[in-house]
Parts: sequence; structure tokens; C-alpha cells
Amino acid sequence: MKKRIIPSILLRGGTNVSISQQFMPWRTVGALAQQLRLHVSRQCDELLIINLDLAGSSGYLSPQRLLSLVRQEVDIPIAYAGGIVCSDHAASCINAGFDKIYMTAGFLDDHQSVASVSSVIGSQSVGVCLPYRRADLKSTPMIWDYRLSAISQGMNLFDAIQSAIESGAGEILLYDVDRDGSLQGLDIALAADMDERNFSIPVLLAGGAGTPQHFSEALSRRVIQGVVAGTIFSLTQETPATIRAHCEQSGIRMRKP
Amino acid sequence: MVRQSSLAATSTSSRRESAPVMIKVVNFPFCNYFSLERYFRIRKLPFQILENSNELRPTDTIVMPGVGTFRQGMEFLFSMHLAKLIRDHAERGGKLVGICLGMQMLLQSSAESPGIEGLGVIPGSCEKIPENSLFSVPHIGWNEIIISDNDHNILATLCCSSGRSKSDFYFVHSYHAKPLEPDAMIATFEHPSGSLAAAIANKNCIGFQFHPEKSGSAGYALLDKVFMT
Repeated sequence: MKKRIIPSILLRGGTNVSISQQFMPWRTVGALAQQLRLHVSRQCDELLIINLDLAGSSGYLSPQRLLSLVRQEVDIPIAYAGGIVCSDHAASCINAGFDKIYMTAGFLDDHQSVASVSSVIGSQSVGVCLPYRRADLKSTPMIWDYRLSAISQGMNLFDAIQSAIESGAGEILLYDVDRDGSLQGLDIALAADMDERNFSIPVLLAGGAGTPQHFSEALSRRVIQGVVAGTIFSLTQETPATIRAHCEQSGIRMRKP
Repeated sequence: MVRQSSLAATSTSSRRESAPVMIKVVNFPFCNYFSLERYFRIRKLPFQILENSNELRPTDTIVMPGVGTFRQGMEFLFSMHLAKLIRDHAERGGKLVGICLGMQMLLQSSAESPGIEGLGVIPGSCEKIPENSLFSVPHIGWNEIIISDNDHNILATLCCSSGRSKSDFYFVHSYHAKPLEPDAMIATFEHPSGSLAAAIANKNCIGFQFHPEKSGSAGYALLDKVFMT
């Protein structure tokens, strides 16, 4: 299996693309059409659109302009996150042209909502995005509820992962809130921990990727199948191709475009 | 409910006269229809949504995309009275193409949905991808395919002399096809337990486990082989 480089596109205010720091929108960096063209032409492996306008809400509204652009510009896999809490939302999203959906609020409020979605569109098309924080570097990572801007009481990350898998998630995205937008490196300690825990489904890592070395450090871990990143593609000269070349030199099996 | 076919109808009408082959797409209630639609639009190929009331000519090509579960897909085909239409088309020699779940439904059954009857135009069944510490399931992401050495060479130009594909293709699935006839497996991907089906074919029916419509230029080149030759 080839490891994946996945640019994330944070949408705010319709089709404006932002980058974030610690899960707060920080700076607008372009428009969706331009970003889609850019990432597709740079041969990224997959795209993730996170619709901040709907994140945390309980209502997925089919954003027509967004969908029109996706259909027009994208011939690679593309996933969607933002406001999906039930199978109707998920089916609507898949019908609209997305390949996968990610759930966060829906999962945090009711783990069974993932099972319900999975039974309709298949577990391979359902991911769960888990934002987390640590009190300090040695403490257990805890789920961070972005709606409350607070640690979700009593839910540690590893229990949440296990619960997501048991609920039918086909992929897990672990998002380090403190590293988000920092470019200071991914949570390699967590990547190593994940290898030991040996979860059966693909795990993606997000938050902090700022150099090609950060990608190779994470992707060299067996369980980590992909790295999701946004800021590096907006604020540096790195592209999926340059990062892929570096990872290949490091002995990691990457996609042949 | 079947999605309205206004896009397809618009695309189709101006090209029907010059194109004797019509592509009929099964529009499942949850599927990757728009990804395929993009390919047909870019290549200016005539296409329509397959409906039970459609006139279906032997020269038409039926395409079954699909995302979701085997049960959901087959229940849709039966409830829309499309299963018999598709089987009859295949038996008459009409071309039938399945992608992902659409490919799995070409077979007789699937462990994903016990007791649910598949189309059975290719003998065999689907089984869960074996769990292995070296291979995450679902199988999500890019992988190379290895072309089997048989007479079905639609994939041959996409491969090196070693039989491995020059480019990778995008997979997203938890079940894999096990055709009864070994020759029906025209391409495979590597799994620690052995080679698993990446593409299957039988006479005029062909199925891809991966998503050529989501595999960039290599995927489009493969679709060109399927729909333009």
C-alpha cells in the first residue's frame, strides 16, 4: 500500500480558503477553484475539504458552488468534512461527487451515528476525525471538542479510536490541535504509539507538518497511511511532488502518478 | 429516487447521431456518478442514465458505478427492475462495466451481505479482505496493479514489461472479488496473503475494483480503452 500526501482545504465564508492555527481560522489564502486546480495539477494523492461554516452544526447543507467546482476540477479522490451527522447527509455528499466523508461532532455526540452512516455508504467511505490535545508532552492525549473549545471530559484519544473502529469507521484522522498551523512537526510520539497499538484500519495524521522530513518521519511508521496538511502548501515552496520524492528517498513506498 | 437525467440528456442529444454507441449509467442513490459524468463530459462521450423504460440496444454499454454495500446496491437494482435488464443485456453480448461496488455486483454473492443475490454475470463471490498486520482494511489509497497473463489485454498498455502498472490506481474497498474461473482475474494487487483481484472480466463484462475515474490521467487512459475502443 502506498502512503498518501493529502492537502486539506479549509473553507470559510463560502468558497474562501483559509489556513488555521490551533483550530482557529487564521488567514485567507485563496479561493476554492484556484486551490483545487493547484493541488490536482501538483498531483497530490487525495484532497480533504473541511467546511468550517458547517463544522459543529447538525445540518449538512449541500453547497452548490462547492459541488460544482469539485465536479469541474477534480479527477482524484476527495473527502468532505463539515456538518455530517447522519446517513442522509453522508449519502447526499457521496452523491454530490465526494469519495469519503469524515465525521467529528456526529461521532462525539453519538457514536452509533457512525454505524448508521457506515451501514449505508460502507465503512470504507466513512472516516472519523478526532481532534486532540495533551496537557503536556507525556500525558495521555484527550479528545478536544472544538464546539466548546475544551477537552471533552473523560474521553481519551485511544478509547475514542477504538470506539470509532467498533462503530464502523473505515479510517481515522488524528488531528493535533496544538500543532495545527505551527509547521513545527507532526506528533511522532503518537505515530510510534499507534504502531504499537496495532489498530487495524488506516490512520492519518494531521497538525504540524512543515518540512518533507516531517512527512517521512510519520509515514515511516507502519500504521500511519497518510499525512494531512494545509499550511505547508500555502506558506512554503513544498509540493506533494517534492515531499513524495523525499519520502521515496527515505524508503517509503509512495504513489506512482 | 433516481436522480434526474437533465445533465445527461443535454450532453447526449447533440451527439447521438454521430455516436452509435450509447453509454448507460446505473444511477444508484449513493454512488460516484458525478466522477464518471466528468469523464464522459471531458471526453465528449454520449451517455444517459439507465432506466427501465430506456431502449437498450446491443451496442450500448452499461456502466455500474457504486459506493456502499452489496445489499444496498442489489436492492436498488431489483427495486428499479434493472437487474433483469442488465443480465439480459450481458447475455445478449452487450458490454457491461462495473466499478468498485459495481464490479462486485457482477458476481453471484458477497460475504458483505449474505443471502443477497448478485447479478451473477461473472461466476464467483466477494469475500472480506483478509486482516493482516501489514495491510490495513479497508484498503484505501493508491496501489499498483499487476496484469495477469491472459487474453484480456485491455490493461496491457498501462503496464511495464514486468506486468506492473506504470501508474498507481485508487482503491477504496473492504471486500474483494473471487471469480470461480482463475482466467477471469485480469489484474491483481498484492496482499500479504497473496494476489487479490483488482480487475475481473468474462466475455463482454469487465469490472474494476479500483476507481479509474478517480485515478488521474492513468485512470482516464484506462477508461479511454474501455469506452473508446
